[in-house]
Amino acid sequence: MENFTHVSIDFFPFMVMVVLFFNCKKTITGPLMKDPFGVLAMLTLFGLVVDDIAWCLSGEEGTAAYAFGIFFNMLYFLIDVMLAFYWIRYIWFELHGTDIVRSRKVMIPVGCIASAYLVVLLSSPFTGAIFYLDENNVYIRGHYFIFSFIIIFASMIISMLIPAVHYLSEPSRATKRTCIYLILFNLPFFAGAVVQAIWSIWLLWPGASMSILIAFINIRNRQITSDPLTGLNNRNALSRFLKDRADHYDKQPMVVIMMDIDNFKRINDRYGHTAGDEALWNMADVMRETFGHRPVFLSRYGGDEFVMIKDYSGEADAKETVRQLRDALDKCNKSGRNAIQFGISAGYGVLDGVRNIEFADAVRDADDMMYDDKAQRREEAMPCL
Amino acid sequence: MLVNVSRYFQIDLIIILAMFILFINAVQSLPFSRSSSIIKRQILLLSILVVCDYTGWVLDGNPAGYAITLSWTADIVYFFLTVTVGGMWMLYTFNEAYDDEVFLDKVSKCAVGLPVAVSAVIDISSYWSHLVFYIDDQGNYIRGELFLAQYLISFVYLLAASAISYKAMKKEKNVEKRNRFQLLTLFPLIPIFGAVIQNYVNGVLTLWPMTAVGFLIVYINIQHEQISMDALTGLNNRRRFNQFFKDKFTDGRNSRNYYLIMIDVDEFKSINDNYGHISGDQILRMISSWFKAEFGKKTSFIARFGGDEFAIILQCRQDEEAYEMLEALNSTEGRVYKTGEMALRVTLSAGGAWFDEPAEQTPEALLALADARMYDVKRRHKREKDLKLPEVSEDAE
Repeated sequence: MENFTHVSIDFFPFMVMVVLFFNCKKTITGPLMKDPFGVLAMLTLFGLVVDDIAWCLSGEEGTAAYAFGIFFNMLYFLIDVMLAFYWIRYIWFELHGTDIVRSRKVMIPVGCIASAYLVVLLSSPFTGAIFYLDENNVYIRGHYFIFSFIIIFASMIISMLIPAVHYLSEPSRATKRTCIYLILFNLPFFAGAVVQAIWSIWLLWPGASMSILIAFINIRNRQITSDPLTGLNNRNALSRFLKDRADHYDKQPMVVIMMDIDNFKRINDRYGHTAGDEALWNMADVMRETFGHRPVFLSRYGGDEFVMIKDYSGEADAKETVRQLRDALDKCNKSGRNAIQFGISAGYGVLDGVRNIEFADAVRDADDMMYDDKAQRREEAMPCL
Repeated sequence: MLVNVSRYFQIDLIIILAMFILFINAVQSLPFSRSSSIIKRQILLLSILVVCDYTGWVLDGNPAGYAITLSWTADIVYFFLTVTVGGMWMLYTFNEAYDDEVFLDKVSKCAVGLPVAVSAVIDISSYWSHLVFYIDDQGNYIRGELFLAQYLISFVYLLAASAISYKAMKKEKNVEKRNRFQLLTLFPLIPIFGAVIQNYVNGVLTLWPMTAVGFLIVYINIQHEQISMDALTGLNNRRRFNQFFKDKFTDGRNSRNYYLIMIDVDEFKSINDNYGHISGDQILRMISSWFKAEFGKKTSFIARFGGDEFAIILQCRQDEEAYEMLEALNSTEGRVYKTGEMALRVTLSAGGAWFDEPAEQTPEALLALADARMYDVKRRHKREKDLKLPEVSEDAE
């Protein structure tokens, strides 16, 4: 009955993981095992299944049950330590966009700990270090069980600390939001593990599966609000941003800066869509590099138009912002990173109020100014032609 | 007994947590619409229902006075919600199938409101009549004669919902929407399956877990539709196009069934520059609805590729069909669109390529070929126009 209970508890988390797993294919491009989130989802699904199999085998009689019991329990202890490690990797990837598996500084100590653990685990059937099965094939914790326990809890604490520390040291609103999301993402797994360790109520894997659900929903959300080509915010995110302002009745005036790549149509027509896409990427990168760490809303508004929204502190500041962006783009053009060099026209309008109509006004002002700018730039460019 | 209580806690806690995650997300990110508000309410109701279910289990057999009162309340709410969740599900499906507020209002009053009210009266009167259930002096929960009826009403709603979406699926021409109705048609199987297992396998709780899983599937599907749609035109967006194109590319190379068309609006830039973004957006929307009306009937996938570019993937058996379509798109007459007081004649340039072109081995190369052909047409259009109107503005480039 005890074993069966276990299956009953894991039933819902298991079904949730199956649903997420099948939907991952639509969400993640590329192989699942290469994606930091995909690996987590896989390990959690396996963990749930292996955990249940091991429980069902516990107390069954016979040599076969013993052999399978040893095998699945070992697999279980392997998966849960792997999960703890990949958990950190996922968090690091979300915050920094880099894969710690590629970094030697991390992999050498991790490799050492992992091999030591593996040796202890593999010797368990003979020494009973991590676990053993008694004469009735019932699972019993070994003397060095604490080894796996420490690894898991240490990883969890690291997983919690990374976003917490980052939150305190990071000025950008977007990154702060990511940190909060990561802390929330950690909570179910963490809480499940603590409850399981202290009260022996089996919530580790169900907790992990809820964390995976949070991550999955979050990935989907990001896809809804980001532009697939450049990774900047899209129109959806822009309306959400405006709605957010209206909801909080945030009357702090803001400046809406519109930018448009000069002769983008000609780049597309002459060099093909790939070249055009590349110009858009580079433009997005320049925007991110220049303003990404500040509380600024960056978005792709349409084909080759970009919109940036920031707090308004006078005309001079708005002009300065445009100038900074131009400088950064010039630098990028000169560095040869852009296969095709391009310029931008820009204009701005002041958003003073929270209603949609006021935003439309600001966009119209910015638009008008941008077209004047474009005309002027064309005149300046004429003598050269 | 204690084992049971902790087991229900473990199961129910996770369901409530999952529903809570969905609810928070729905509040933050689902677009404001009737169907999202029904979904939000459904998620909330299911959480309350699970809490009541759990309360009932925990207090079962507890003879204390407060426990008996609480059991009565929790169980009455539980049965009431069992019927309501089913009714709401039918309303949701109905709203998806017929977007008609007046009709929906009538249905929600007659077909859902009335039976739910009647069953609520029966639930409450159980306190005296013991029809659905009762709690004895020892605090034990005992089923009444009409116990099963509450579940049956709920299942009837689910089956009705299934029938409604099946009918809508048969009528629907748009592939994406048809898939959605297919999912809604199959949905009731999930909780019913859960109920059957729970009924026949002793000691396993699956009814509400399965219902929650069903909601999760529907929710993920709603999100998926949001991800793959272009907000301005309602067509598929570039992300979805890339996915679809890559999926079909391998299939398509083996048979001459797929035809890719790239379309660009002629001189769109000058429309934007001369008449403003609002008019430009409006024209894009009108062009899109023309595409939907004209090509939506055939097996075709229509996407907005970028600013003023569109892509269509056509599945057809005869070459003529594809070429006719290309001809229609490329007509030099164009079409006249009204925006505000102005009427603008807009022409399109379109170029196509078969999926089995021998020289193009990759999706990118095929796209580039269709693109190149489109630009040939565009140059031709421009020459023809230049002949007619020599003073064409230089913005037109």
